[in-house]
Amino acid sequence: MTSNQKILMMIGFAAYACAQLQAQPNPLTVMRQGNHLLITAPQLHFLDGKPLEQLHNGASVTYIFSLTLEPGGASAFHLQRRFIVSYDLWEERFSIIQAEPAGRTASHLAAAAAESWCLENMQIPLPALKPDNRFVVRLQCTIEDAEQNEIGAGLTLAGLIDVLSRKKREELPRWEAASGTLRLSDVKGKEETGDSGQETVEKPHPRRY
Amino acid sequence: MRNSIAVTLVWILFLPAGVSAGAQKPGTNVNEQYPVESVELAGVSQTKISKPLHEDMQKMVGEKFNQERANEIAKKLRGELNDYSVTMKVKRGDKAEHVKVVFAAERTWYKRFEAPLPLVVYHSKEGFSGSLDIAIKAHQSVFAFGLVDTADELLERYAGYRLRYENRKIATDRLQFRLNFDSYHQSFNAATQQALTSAPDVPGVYRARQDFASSLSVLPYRDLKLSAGTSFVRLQIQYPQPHTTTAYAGTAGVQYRHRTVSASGLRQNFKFDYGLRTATRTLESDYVYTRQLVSADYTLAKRRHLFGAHFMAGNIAGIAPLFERFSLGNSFTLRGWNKFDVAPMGKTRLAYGSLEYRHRDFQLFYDVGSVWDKGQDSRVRHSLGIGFASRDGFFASLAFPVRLHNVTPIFMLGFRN
Repeated sequence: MTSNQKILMMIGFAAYACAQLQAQPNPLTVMRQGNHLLITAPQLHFLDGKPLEQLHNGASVTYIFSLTLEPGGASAFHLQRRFIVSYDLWEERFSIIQAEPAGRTASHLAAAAAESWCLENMQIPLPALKPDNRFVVRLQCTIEDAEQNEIGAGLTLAGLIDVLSRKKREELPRWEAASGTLRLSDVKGKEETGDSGQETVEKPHPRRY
Repeated sequence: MRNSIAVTLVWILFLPAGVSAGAQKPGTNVNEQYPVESVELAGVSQTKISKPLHEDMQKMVGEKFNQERANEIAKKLRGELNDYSVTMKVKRGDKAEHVKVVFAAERTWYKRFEAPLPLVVYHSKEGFSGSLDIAIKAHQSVFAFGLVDTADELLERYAGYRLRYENRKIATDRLQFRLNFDSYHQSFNAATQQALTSAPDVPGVYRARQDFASSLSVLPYRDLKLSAGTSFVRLQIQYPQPHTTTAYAGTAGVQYRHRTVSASGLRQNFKFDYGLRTATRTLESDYVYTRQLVSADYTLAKRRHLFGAHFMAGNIAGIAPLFERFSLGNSFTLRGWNKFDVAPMGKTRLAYGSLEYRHRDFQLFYDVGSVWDKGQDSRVRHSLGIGFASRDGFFASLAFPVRLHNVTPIFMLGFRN
């Protein structure tokens, strides 16, 4: 093998390693609180990119979160939540409404707090787990396709033709986080930090707007 | 059972508004607490939208921002501003805790170059002509299928179908590609057939014509379009023995469109078109010729008054088939004259001008023009007419040839889009 070939091979390996690293989901931490497991993913930033641009333009964006618990590779527990996020143009803070199941709202949140608030509402009930089973918690997040909804809202011949013949749309953004393999006995309890920051989290209703 | 399937299909295909999947509920956007300070339409003149829609937009001012309502208005704007894309932005207002709503329209240039096609025309000498085109637009692509039966445009009556595929954005919206396939059957007026018997140098009639054409267009800036392509025409000739002749040509075109609206409300519209077709042995064409046609239109309008001037000139060098030869005297040129009286088998030179004045929908026009062959004297003909031409395309005209005898008026009626 010549030195040039070796260099090319090393570049290839480096590129492959980078691609693998890129494809790795963000780390997800699991903690125990009362009868639930809570998740946090400090490196997962979904208030970002095009959705953030839409929010800054005064529109609301619906995020769909999907959480699965995978014992032995097979999905055993699944939780889905929809959160409607909007950005207060005057206060420069985020506001969130949990749309599915409806009820909880939060406002005056900075970006990081808004992201955490969504994850805090993705709780796993302990009865879903057996104490000695190993499991992996996987979180996926995407946004609702507003364009798709517009087509669905007017189910017409033109709409169908458009759906069938359209160029592949720009892919919706997607975020992922996953824990390592865990056992319930390994999961630590949540430390009470008492740090609620400037954010105020309103318990179910009343809505102020 | 069959009926229920049919009803289901109709329901699926034509139901105007089905179930709204995941529609935004009111009160889910935090900015809905703020009153709207102003609503702005950017990128396009307010005069381009209807009064009711403009009023709907202005009704938002003073009320709390409602995203659902704003989305509906954006949808209506997209419907009215056909050649624009519309996006909505909400911004901080100048007053504290107020918001501004901006509907930003961006022109999609290519649509201004679309040729208006006659839909239905009745001409008292030619009878009815009509065409129906169904276009399916999918993002940058347009697929169109059309049925045609017309005697208005050429010396022949032709009936058949046409297919079109157009890609309006090849990497960039300054580059477009188009494919056309037309297939028609012809019938010729007795006057044309009679005239051909005494003109052996003019190619004869044919019973079918097929054209497969492609072109690539560049828009170096928004008012200008440059095109180049090919056109492969096959003609089926029945006499003296059935055979096919070809007119395989290279094509080129220049289109220019310019509109201005002054602060005083003076609207000016200028169009220029140049087309070149050159059939050559290089492309293995049986006919060898070069056809050039140039046209220019200018309109000046203020309030309910409109003045228009139109000009056209053409030249053919070589021996061109009948569909390429120039004629005058139809529903849009030298109105008042019958084209089979002017030149039953067409000519190779063309000069034409027209002036018109409109007040509201009432129209007065004067046409002048001539067709002739190289080396022959040209006879200039004039016509005058009155009519009705509405903005939505309906027209009805009565035109008179200017001559001392046999002044028979020609009546025309129809829709043009």
